[in-house]
Amino acid sequence: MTSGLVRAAGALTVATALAGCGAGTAASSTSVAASSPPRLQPQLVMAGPDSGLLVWRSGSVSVLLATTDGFRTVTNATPPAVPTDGGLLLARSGSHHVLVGVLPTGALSVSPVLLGDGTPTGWSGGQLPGVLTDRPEAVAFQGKALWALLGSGSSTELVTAMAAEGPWQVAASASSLDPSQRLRLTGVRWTDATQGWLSGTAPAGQTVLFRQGAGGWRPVPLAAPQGTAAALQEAASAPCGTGGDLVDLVTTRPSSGGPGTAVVERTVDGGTSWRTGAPVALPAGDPVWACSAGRVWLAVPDGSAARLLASTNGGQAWRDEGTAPGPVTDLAITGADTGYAVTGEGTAARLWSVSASGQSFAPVTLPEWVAQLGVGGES
Amino acid sequence: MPTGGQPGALGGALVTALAGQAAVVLAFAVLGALAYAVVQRRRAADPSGPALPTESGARRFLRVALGSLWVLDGLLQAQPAMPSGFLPTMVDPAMAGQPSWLTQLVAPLVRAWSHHPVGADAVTVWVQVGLGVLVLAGGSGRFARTALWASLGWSVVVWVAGEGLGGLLVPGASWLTGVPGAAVFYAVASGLLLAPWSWWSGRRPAASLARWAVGVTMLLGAVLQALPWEGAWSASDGLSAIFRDASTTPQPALLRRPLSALALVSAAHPVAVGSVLLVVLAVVGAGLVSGRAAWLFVPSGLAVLLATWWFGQDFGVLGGTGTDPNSAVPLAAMLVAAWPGWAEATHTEPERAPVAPRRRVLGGAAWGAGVAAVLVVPAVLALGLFGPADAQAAVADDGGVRQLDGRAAPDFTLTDQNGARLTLSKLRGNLVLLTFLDPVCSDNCPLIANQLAAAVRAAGARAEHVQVVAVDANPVFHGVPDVQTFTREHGLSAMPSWHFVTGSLAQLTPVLRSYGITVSLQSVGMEAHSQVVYFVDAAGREVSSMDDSAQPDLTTGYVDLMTRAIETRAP
Repeated sequence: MTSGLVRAAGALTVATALAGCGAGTAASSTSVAASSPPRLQPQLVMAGPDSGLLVWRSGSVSVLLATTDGFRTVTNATPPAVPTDGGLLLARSGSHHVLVGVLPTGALSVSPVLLGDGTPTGWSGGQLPGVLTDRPEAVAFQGKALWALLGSGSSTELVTAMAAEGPWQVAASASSLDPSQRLRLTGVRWTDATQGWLSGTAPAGQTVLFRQGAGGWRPVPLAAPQGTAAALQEAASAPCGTGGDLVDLVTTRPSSGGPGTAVVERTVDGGTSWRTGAPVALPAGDPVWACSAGRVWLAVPDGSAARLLASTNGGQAWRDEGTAPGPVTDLAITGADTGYAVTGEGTAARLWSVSASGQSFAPVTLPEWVAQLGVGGES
Repeated sequence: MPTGGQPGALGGALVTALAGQAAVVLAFAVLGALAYAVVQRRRAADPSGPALPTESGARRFLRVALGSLWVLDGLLQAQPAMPSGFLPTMVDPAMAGQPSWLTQLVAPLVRAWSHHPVGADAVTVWVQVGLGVLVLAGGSGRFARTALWASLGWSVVVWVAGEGLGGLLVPGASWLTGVPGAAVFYAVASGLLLAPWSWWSGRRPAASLARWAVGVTMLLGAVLQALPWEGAWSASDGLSAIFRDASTTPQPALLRRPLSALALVSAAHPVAVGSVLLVVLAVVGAGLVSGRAAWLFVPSGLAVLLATWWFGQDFGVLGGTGTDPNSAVPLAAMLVAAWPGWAEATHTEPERAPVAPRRRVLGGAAWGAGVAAVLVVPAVLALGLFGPADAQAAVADDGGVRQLDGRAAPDFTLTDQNGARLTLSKLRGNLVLLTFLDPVCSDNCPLIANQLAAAVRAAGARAEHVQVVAVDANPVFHGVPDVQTFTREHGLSAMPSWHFVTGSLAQLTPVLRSYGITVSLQSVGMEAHSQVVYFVDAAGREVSSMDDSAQPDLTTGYVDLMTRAIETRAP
């Protein structure tokens, strides 16, 4: 008999979505405000032009796929011995180390985490002292240190450990960072070994950013476009480090069902000052973005598809590169003008190889066994 | 005495087997009827044969009572719940705390039953039914005496293997619960019937022996009541516990209310109630032994036995699926046989009385059926009892309860959810429910843990010496925080008897292997591992196990099964 009865996960409701790209790695993307729970979304984390990891939906479970040849071949890298039907959150450090956060499901009421060294048996597991925040940026590496965001709403807290087994210690909490008790933390990223960023959403909806310093986590003032500071909508993303002190952040302004805008905010001095890029119109929905080495891609929803914009100067100027073949749910830059995109969600998701900065989308066909991994209910 | 198994696949197999065997028995009954008719016709044609003695009323009563009891016991043994339920709910409790020589003596029979539950139960059914039929058929010849010797011998087997010498050697022995066992009185009754028929006439020494046996038993009950180490004077575990248990069995309110009242009174005044019982048993027992005022003491003894049957023995079967009506009934039968008012019987008849043809047929049929039931069918079945285990016995049908050979549970030392070291052998003196769980399992493992906890709660005071030990079976998640989280998240932190233990892979692997637990990692999702609960008795022996082979959805039925197991096995 087995203990591995896999059940379909129910949908969770989340308010914001953050993503980021780690320092010194090829970029991955962020959904500024996801239209569906991130746990059901694919997650691309690329480590180079052809190598990377992909969280994918297979049947009722989430699986982790690895590639070293641009998805011409993939291997099942799903962490063992843990139910994955609640969803997986992924972070990567270097070319091998992977941190996988497991979202609760069924009677699994807290979040396990697994630290992998890139080998099939090289997983160590542990228990977070709570439930992972249901956001792609909820797990992160700082060198070998592990970080995770737990909880929801104003009870979110940031914990850290040197190993998956723990011990996990609370590094910050929404309540301590905001005595008004109304802040919620939404993402954590390290753009290099010393630059830690913690993003959150203030009660009015505006983005709040903290940077770790000698005295702990301190608020970082964002550039506030004149007259719109109070109206900054949902937190946009954890920062995207692109080398040196250059950090990009995408924020959106209110759309409220109508047209809104998205802008890149760039800092080169560790968040002391920010330069705001040119606004990009958002006809409807939420954009998905990716950054790498100073380049930013922005996928703007356009009906049942998405327009792909590219910038090489921190969003000061944009090129309209083309139209994606569906609603983009994740995006990764892997080269000067190449990358990957995912359209759709769940088992309807499709993977695309992007070239010419988005002018060309070529479908990537995953092996048939990928769709069968999570089918059958018994694992 | 009651047992609590549930019918299932084994029960169906038993019914099917008995039906086929009944055909054989019926065939022998027909042959017996034919043969007996022929023999009787020849004897009738030869009136010069020896005159036959007539049987006294007292002896006939005792014989019919004994035969009827055997038939009743056989039919009770034929209940579908018996193949799977007899060992865990009858033999196991009877053997709990017994000296090792006794358990070793019984072990081969237990093993045979556990490997061949249907065959072993069928043997028991047919032997008892057959003995009953043969005893009922009566007679004074060699065959009739052989049947009585067989009755005596089988009584001893039942007394030793099924009743554990009636509980005489373990603490807590009480007159009320049937000590020294019902089967011993079947043996005594068989012995009395083996006495010469003349012993039932004249001064009726057989009747005196019956009365004396009942009286001595009552005196023994008084002594057991008086001995402080038998616990009969305890307010919580003494007579009040017996009455309380009896009051909780399903029965009409009219019968239950006096039991509840007795439980309350004996809990409040254990010495007073115990003293009353002691005095009653001593006085009535002494009176019966003395032989004086039989007109007083015999009815008094019957009244005491009736009260015992009601208040202490659940009328033999109310507490569950009974296998016999307990000791009060055979004792009462002997006491009735000892009644001085039975009419005298003539020793012999001057001439052989003609036997009616119909009676000849019935007598022959009874002998044919009896011989087939006692000898032929059991002999054939016995050939299969010592071979490989039946496939159907590999997994019992009442949710997976399986009897084990009682091997010493492999010892281990691991770390529990609080970081404390736990050594299994140091839990001796407790019943240990040992299982293997995955701390990051999202379905069955929390269910199993919660059912174990629910069973411990349901067993109440009976679970005072019960410990639940879960061993981490996940090769990736085996840190103390993992088992700690599982314990906290599933509400087990406040359960003192809960121990979720873990260790390094080097420590866990041999433990899992020693208990036959297989763990396999799937390509996606949870690891798969054997799901089993071992019951490790107070002496550190694996006495039984249960798994979900027969009930893979682990429904709440497991709580009932585990609760019953705790109630019957807990020290």
